[in-house]
Amino acid sequence: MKKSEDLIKGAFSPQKKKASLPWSGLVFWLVIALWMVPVAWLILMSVRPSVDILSGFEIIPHRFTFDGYRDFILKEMWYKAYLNSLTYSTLNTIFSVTLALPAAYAFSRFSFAGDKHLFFWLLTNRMAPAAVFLLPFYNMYNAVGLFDKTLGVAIAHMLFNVPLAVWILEGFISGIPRQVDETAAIDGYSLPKFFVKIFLPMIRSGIGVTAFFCFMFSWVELLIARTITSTDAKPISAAMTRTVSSSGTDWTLLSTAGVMTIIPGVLAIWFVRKYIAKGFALGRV
Amino acid sequence: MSLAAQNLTLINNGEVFLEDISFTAKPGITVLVGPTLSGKTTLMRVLAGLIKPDAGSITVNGIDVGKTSVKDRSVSFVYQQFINYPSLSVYDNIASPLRVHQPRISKEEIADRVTEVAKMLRISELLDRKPSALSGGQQQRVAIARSLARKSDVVLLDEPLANLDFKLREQLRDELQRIFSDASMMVIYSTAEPLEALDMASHTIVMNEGRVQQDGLALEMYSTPKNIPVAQAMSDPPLNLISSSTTSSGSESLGSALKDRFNGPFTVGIRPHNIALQSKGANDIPISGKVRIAENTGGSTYLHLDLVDSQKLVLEFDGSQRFDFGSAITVYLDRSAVFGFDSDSGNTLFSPSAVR
Repeated sequence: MKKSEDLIKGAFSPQKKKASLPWSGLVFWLVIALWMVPVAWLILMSVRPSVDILSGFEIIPHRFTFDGYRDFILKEMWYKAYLNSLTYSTLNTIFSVTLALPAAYAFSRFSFAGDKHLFFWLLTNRMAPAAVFLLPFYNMYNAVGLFDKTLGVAIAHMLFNVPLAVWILEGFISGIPRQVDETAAIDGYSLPKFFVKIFLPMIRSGIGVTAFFCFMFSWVELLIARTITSTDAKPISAAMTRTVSSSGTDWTLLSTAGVMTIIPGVLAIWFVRKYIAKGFALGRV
Repeated sequence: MSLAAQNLTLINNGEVFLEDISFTAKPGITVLVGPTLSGKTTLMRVLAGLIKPDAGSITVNGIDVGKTSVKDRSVSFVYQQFINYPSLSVYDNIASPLRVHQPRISKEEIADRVTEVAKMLRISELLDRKPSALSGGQQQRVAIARSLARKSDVVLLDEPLANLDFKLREQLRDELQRIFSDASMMVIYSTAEPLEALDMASHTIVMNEGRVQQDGLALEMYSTPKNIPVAQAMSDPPLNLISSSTTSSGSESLGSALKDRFNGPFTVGIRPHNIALQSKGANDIPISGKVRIAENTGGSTYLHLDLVDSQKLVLEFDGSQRFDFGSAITVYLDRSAVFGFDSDSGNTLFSPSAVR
């Protein structure tokens, strides 16, 4: 992997000396600014009182309030939903990656009956809309007692995330020569020991990218998470759709929830941004 | 101490990869010579235990290792590609087989052994680096150091120098020879280059098409090969093979010029450097052809000739000279350097009287 990266760097380095367009910096910031308008608007809304939000157009607020953030942190309905989402997304990421690692290794290294069909089948799992799975999950979870549990949501999301994780990891694993595995066997490593001590560190960027995608898919998924939960394990995205109260809609609090929901995504991207490029270079992301 | 293979056979999907391979290797270097696809790498993998043979057995020091799993065998392997663990430092790479060794090896001894082999392979200054920060030659040194540190009974080196440039190859080969010559382990060194076998001047096994063709000393096989595949494997640049019916000079054929050696049709084999542009005496056999191409490789020139019956002949001479394409030319075979092979079986009928 290191090699291919160097190769790419080497191949593209002459382009660094391309003549730079005048005003290119300006254009860059202009594009960024345009893209950021909805996000910035959301952030501004979250610090304005609801009355002001509805009263008219203003770019710079004349009054600030942090009631939204206070309510978000103090009201159980909100912080609990937020923690629920964090919990099942994290659980799902751990389960999916742990399960996908040996599977991806097997797909990459061994040939077994039906391996190619099985690998393609993984992809087809993502071809059906989530709505298709609502009824079976609802009914099944009620029967086995997983309804309204964060664990239940984490498991349900594995339906999409395990195939995705296998698909991404297989690309990374196949980038490592088989001779490394053989060398380790000859050196005296058992397969589990080799996997943990030598193999995992080699594909850690792949694991990072995979974990990122699993987390994000689970974090933004609304339909299944809402259907198989009611109160105890309600996700933040569901909480945001139920904000109309007797006193009207609390726009400030709703915007605050929106801002808070973006944060994990921003953090996740910040940590894996280097690896994502590598994943793209390997052609599986 | 010995490594013995008996009747090793490997067949996959009806294709024969190894056929009835038997040999015994003693401590020191055994060179496995053969062209690509001759089965060298497959044999090495079978010896390491990575592939199970369909028939035959492997014994190390008299003990059959056929049922021993790869990780429990006392064997190390160096690939043609420079295979190291990229996430570990050079030190950890070399120490890795020692850390999982049974019975356990103490930390101090691991450190001692790593330092010792690192010094032997002159990579002492690189121990803190990652393999990706090293040059190809250094990476291969690390791989070899790892195989040495373990002090296994069998060391398999699969064309370890093939991916290195000429100068590095020479240097590392000399070092390997020095390191392994007084070692107590059985080292199997595979190569496609006969010069490497001749340079190592040790026990050599020539393989072709999955079979052992000849087993003996390199020089012996160079001067008295058993058959055409061995003669070819031991010749670089490639051996010329022409029919004895080819016209030599006037109406005389090569066969009749050599009838004192063998009477009847056969295949004439001669190495490019045993053919000269000028006659050196009555012992030479003249042969005429047309110039096709002259390749100058710096010190010497390879002249490719077209003979009658679309046969080809290549000769090598020192220096350089201009030739016109298609011009007729007479060259001279050194009679005392000619091989004779049976045209059907390829077995040697006669070898040169003296090594040249």
